[in-house]
Amino acid sequence: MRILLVDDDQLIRFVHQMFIERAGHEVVGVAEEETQAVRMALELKPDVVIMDIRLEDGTNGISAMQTIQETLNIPAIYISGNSDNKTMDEAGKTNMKAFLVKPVTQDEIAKAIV
Amino acid sequence: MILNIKSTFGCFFYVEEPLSLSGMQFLKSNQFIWNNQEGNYLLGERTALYFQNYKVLEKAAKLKFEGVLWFENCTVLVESDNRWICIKKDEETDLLEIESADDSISKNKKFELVSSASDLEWLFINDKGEVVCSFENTVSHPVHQLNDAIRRFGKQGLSLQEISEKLSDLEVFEGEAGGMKSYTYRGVVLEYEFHRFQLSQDEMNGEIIYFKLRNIQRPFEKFSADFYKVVLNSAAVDIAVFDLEQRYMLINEFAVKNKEVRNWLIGRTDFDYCEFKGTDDSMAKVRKEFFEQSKRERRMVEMEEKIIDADGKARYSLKRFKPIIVQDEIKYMMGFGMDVTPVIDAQEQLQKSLLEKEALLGEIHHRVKNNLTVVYSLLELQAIQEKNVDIAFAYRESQSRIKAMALVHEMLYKSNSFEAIELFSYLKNLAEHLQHLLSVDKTVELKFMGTPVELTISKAVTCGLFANEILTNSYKYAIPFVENPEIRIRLEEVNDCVEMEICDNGPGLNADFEEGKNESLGFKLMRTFTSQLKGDLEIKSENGLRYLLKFKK
Repeated sequence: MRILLVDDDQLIRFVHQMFIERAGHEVVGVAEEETQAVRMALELKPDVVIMDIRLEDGTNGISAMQTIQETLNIPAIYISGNSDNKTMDEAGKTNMKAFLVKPVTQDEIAKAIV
Repeated sequence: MILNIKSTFGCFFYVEEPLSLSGMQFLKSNQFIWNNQEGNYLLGERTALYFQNYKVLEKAAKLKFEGVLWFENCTVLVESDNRWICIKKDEETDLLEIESADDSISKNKKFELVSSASDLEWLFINDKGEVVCSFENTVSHPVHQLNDAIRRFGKQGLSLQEISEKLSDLEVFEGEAGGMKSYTYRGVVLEYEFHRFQLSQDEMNGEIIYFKLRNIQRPFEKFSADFYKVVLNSAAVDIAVFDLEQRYMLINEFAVKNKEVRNWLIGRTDFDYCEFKGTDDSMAKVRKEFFEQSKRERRMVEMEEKIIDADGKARYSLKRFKPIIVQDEIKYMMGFGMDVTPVIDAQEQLQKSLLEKEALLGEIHHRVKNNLTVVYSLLELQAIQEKNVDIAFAYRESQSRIKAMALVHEMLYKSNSFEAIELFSYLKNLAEHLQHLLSVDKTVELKFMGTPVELTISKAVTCGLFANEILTNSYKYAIPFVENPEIRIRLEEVNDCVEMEICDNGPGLNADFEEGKNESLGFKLMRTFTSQLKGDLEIKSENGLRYLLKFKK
């Protein structure tokens, strides 16, 4: 699978990228904030976007997915520290493959992608 | 009115006077002057009170004396127009006589009576400040000095006119002697202290009682209309009285500063005011609603009113309506208003500050959790790269400990309170995560029993780490060795004491296990956590392994 990885924390991006690649998938791009994520998703057209919810500069991953999915119906795998009901409800309104709560294991990511 | 003055030595002063007897002044050891509300007075002497030389007294009475002086051989009565007369006592006949009622000294001259510092000298001073006449009082008995006689009715520094008024208005309503007594004077309650003086002069013995003013209490209902007006207008709150149709009957100056507007409003309503000003009447409507509610429910109701002032700033006023009920019927309605803008502003500021702090705390928990996530992820990376199963499991153990901590921050971030964690949900979350993290090829049945228990963050973290060690142990030493692995978690709060029980159905402790000896890191940590919680830990091999932790909440 071709995956766009979005997270505002560089170290987490690095670790998650390793998990994804070790699970046999390709990270086609990484982004750290909403606008960049939307632009890259529309350009790179990945199969899945692994998306954090709280992003750089107060931007929001769910909002980014809504914008992306207005043009391309790319499914999201949310990986977030925010697992409150409101956040999960909003995420559920988008095309979502899975909602993982940080911290995650390689196994969890791998299972969610498939 | 009856006044008894009793003597302990057979002297018995008794006056039964049909007129209201209102005061007494001592002239000397054996002489008294009493005056009543009509301005008449009686002169008394020692063993009996007698109307000696009544004609003289009658004449004196017509002059309406202001004050009275006694000196060596005569009594001086000061008239209200500042003239004076002198009453002398005839030593032979023992009768009193007027010696000088119209003396040249006082004729057509105004003068004041002034006492010297020694209280023994008495001066008449005219309006030019000249001494026109003086007397010396040589009697030293403290009770019988004139100044003392004046003092006994309460006040120093009062003019004779004032003392005279006081005497004429003093109403005696108790006849007992001794201790504290109360009198009303123009509606004002005066408390007097009784004093007894032993008389021992000449051949006469007797006892005299007099009063000393101690306290003044002004009953509210006795104030004048002007007084109420001043109070009403000085009150730092809006006060209004309405009729039952909510028409203004009275408004104080604080409520409406402008006198013309205040007068204009009388007989009008808030709706009239809005119409006059050409403004929206929504405020009048709301007031009317609360006014009617207060009337209907016969109780005080309050509302908060927001007004935008001339500078465009929001101001808040607390309005109250209260019915005035007379004989079970609402006669009028009262309205009160108070500017509570500073209070509301402070509340808003406080609320804002609270929200900021909550947001900040939320952010901190989020950051802590993020940091723990990074550490967890790095350990995950090492775990999955590690070929050695034991080392990989050690990484997993560390991950699970980090997860136990991270979960607390996650729950705090999600909850409305940053003070407490619900332990039951926390343990459930933790157990489910560990099942995933430390999963073996078997399905482990997780059973949860008990009730929610709220714990502080620090205790919850310790409990989480404690449970984590037990569960890790079970996954390591029990689950791989049974066919249908099962883990039971029970949590209960009994009398402010928390009971946490975790059991598995594994083989239990080794036969050679000895408590406190050669224990694994997991066991050592469990004991540390138990001690941290100031609790008791019980470990038993009973169809598996059973841990029971008890600690004070």
